[in-house]
Amino acid sequence: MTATAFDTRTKRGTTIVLLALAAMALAIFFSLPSCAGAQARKLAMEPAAIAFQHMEADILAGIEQDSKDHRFGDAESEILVRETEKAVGAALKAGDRDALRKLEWGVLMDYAGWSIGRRVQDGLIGPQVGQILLERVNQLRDLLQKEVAQ
Amino acid sequence: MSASTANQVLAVLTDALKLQGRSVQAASDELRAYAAGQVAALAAAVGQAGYAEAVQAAADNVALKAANELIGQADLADQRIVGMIAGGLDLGARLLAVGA
Repeated sequence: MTATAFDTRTKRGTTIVLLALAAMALAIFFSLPSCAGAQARKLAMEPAAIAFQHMEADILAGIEQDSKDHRFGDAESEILVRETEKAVGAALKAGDRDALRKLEWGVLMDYAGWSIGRRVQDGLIGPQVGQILLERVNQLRDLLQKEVAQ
Repeated sequence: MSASTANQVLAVLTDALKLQGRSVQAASDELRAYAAGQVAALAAAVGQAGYAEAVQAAADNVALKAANELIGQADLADQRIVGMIAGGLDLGARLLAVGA
């Protein structure tokens, strides 16, 4: 093989590799907004919104009780938590993950769990019923963590 | 527990999977076991105060579990794709290094 033929083959090979690299870079670029994880999270918003709606009474009861027990420092913080509750509900309903990332939804999950425990303690619901309700809080917490993780 | 409650939970599982473009047959063993566990938990809660609420919660649990599982599988698929792309880039870099 002459030196010229070798150079031509090398150049061609380099071009192919560069093209392949460019194609890969493009694939990465275009796959980001529509990657499987993002699509799955979008689909997951619906069951999350429904579960949150079903848990709303427990969350609000928890906030109410906390307020009665004077755990809130002031009325302002109670209003803040209630506003958070509304905002989380709205974000889930709208499927707005960016909004959800900014909200303290974990506090609401704590309120729901606390409220359920109290209802079991007061005999308003049975212990097994309480377990199933607590499982919903845990599942939703897991899901919301995944929703905001990406 | 009545057969209708078991059917209700199964219906929720079916709906949750349908939403994700999957069938009950395609559901993972883990998800099916989880749904069966929720049905068993409901059986233990029969006659307790708040039972109707528990039925609704069990249905939510199955739907949430299915969604959690879907995200996990999707993330795994994304990781594989990213791994393949990274492998390709690595190979390309090696070829360039050899050609240089």
